[in-house]
Amino acid sequence: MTDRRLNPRSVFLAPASAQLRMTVDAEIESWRGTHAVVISSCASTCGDELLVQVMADNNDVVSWAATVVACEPIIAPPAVRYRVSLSLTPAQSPAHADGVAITSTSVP
Amino acid sequence: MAWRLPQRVSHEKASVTIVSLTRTKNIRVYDVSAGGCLLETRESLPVGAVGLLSIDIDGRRRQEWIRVCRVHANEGRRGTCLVSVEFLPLEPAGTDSLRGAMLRLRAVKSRARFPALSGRSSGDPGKSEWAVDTPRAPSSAAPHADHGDLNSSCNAIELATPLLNGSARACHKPAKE
Repeated sequence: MTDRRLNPRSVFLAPASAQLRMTVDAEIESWRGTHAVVISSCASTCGDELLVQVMADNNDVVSWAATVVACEPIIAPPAVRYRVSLSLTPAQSPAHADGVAITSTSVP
Repeated sequence: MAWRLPQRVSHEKASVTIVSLTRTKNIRVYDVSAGGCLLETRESLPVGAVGLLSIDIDGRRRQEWIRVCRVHANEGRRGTCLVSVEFLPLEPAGTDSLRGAMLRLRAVKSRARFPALSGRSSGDPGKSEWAVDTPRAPSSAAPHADHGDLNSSCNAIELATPLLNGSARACHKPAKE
């Protein structure tokens, strides 16, 4: 055994159920009403339920529940990205509990 | 709803708007320590991905930011993946922190049995206290079929018994050859 692990571990008798919220950034390609297309570095599966958060002009974070309608790869340098089509429904924000900072960046 | 996209979304204005996409996955947790835990997911996660782990222990929800360290395809188990994650100490470990709960239990245990612990900074590998105290499993004790390599280094399960409310099993270091 290498010295990779530093702490003693405790093993559950039976695996414990848990939830994992993963957040990734995506770029808006188009947004029309309740339909949006974003470019993401992560692929999605049709039917996946996502929470979309965007910062509005007044610096408020607006949340939408989204369902993945389609996902197609964009094969271009420097890395493969994915064009994800979303069907949106307004949702309540979880009070920044899990939000990654939403920023606007300039295109070089 | 009175809301509109920021004007800077226009590509003609040489800027883009970044949104965050949050996905909630149902997972299972096999083991936990003060530094991380082992998860089982139905789909692979990218190494380096960051997420918020939520788990109910003793009727109390505990959360921790994690980062994916290693991913192993769990062949033979419905195509699931075993994911090793480490806790991210982004903020002090509070009462609802999974990392904090494990650290506190370890500290209590250490104070009770090992008043003068050595640490990694002293050249100790960080496991000697457990090697002294933890009884070794007999050679006939076969490790778990799917986690033999993991169980080989897992010890001190009594440390977490109060936290896991009796839902933990012993996992001892195997005797050295």
